[in-house]
Amino acid sequence: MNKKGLSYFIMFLVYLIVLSMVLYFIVQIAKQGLAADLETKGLEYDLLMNRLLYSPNSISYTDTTIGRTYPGIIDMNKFNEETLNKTFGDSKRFGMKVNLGKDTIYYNKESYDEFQPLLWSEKYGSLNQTMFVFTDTNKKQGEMLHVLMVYAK
Amino acid sequence: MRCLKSKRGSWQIEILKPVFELILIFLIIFLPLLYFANSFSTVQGYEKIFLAKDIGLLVDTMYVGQGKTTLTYPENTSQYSVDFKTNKVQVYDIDNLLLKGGFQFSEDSIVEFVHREIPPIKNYGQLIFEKSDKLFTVNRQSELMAQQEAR
Repeated sequence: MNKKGLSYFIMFLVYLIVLSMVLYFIVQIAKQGLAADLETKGLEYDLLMNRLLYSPNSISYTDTTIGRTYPGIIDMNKFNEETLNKTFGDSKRFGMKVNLGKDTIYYNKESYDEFQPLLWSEKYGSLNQTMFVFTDTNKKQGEMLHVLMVYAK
Repeated sequence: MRCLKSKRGSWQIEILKPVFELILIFLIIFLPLLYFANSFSTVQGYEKIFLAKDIGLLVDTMYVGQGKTTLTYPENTSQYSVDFKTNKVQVYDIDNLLLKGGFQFSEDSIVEFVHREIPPIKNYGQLIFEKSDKLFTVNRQSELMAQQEAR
């Protein structure tokens, strides 16, 4: 390849890279516009937050005799990371920190530690819930329950 | 005519270079964009994405509920395959496998989800979602009717 051919080849590569970048941005813009109507991230993670509080397999107290779950009462025997892992399975799409008084448990701590410092970015979202709950079935002892869920959009 | 007499470069390069660039632009930008826009603009493309999201959200919702739940899915999915994989649902038709609607949901480790591919069907194709304390299944109405008849 002579000198002119080589410079033409380099210019060709530059054109190719620029064109690829233009294509990528055009497709991304078009995709965002089309996906806007079907954006459901908020609802999706709201459902998962509800699962933490309302599911019989989660941390809430469940009366096994009648099969009823009490979302305002936390079963301290179930308040551990193993319960969270069972409740949300191994999807690992989000991280969660659950704080009850002095106790703190995590679901998918790796993702939580990764996403939490990046919440300022639009690429990451969070869902926060704070509520007063009882920690015994007699409703005599209570604590504040703080839940922070972080996810990549 | 000046380019034909030019000694610096051959006239073929002067003419063919822009033509080549135009062809390149057409191949790299225009054709993929056209294909992308076309696949989304069809009603089916949009419908598949909607169905995948709707079914995934429905599964997430049913996991919140207590006890045994049975739900007949009101949307028409009879012309599509619905493929349930681990933490994921995909909706597609066999004629166009390139554009699949997909959605990730979160399975519960206690209630076992039965993963399977549900093929399209003409009659009684409504999806029936059933969740008990231990098992989560999704079947076509016709499949359940056939099971009942067999009994």
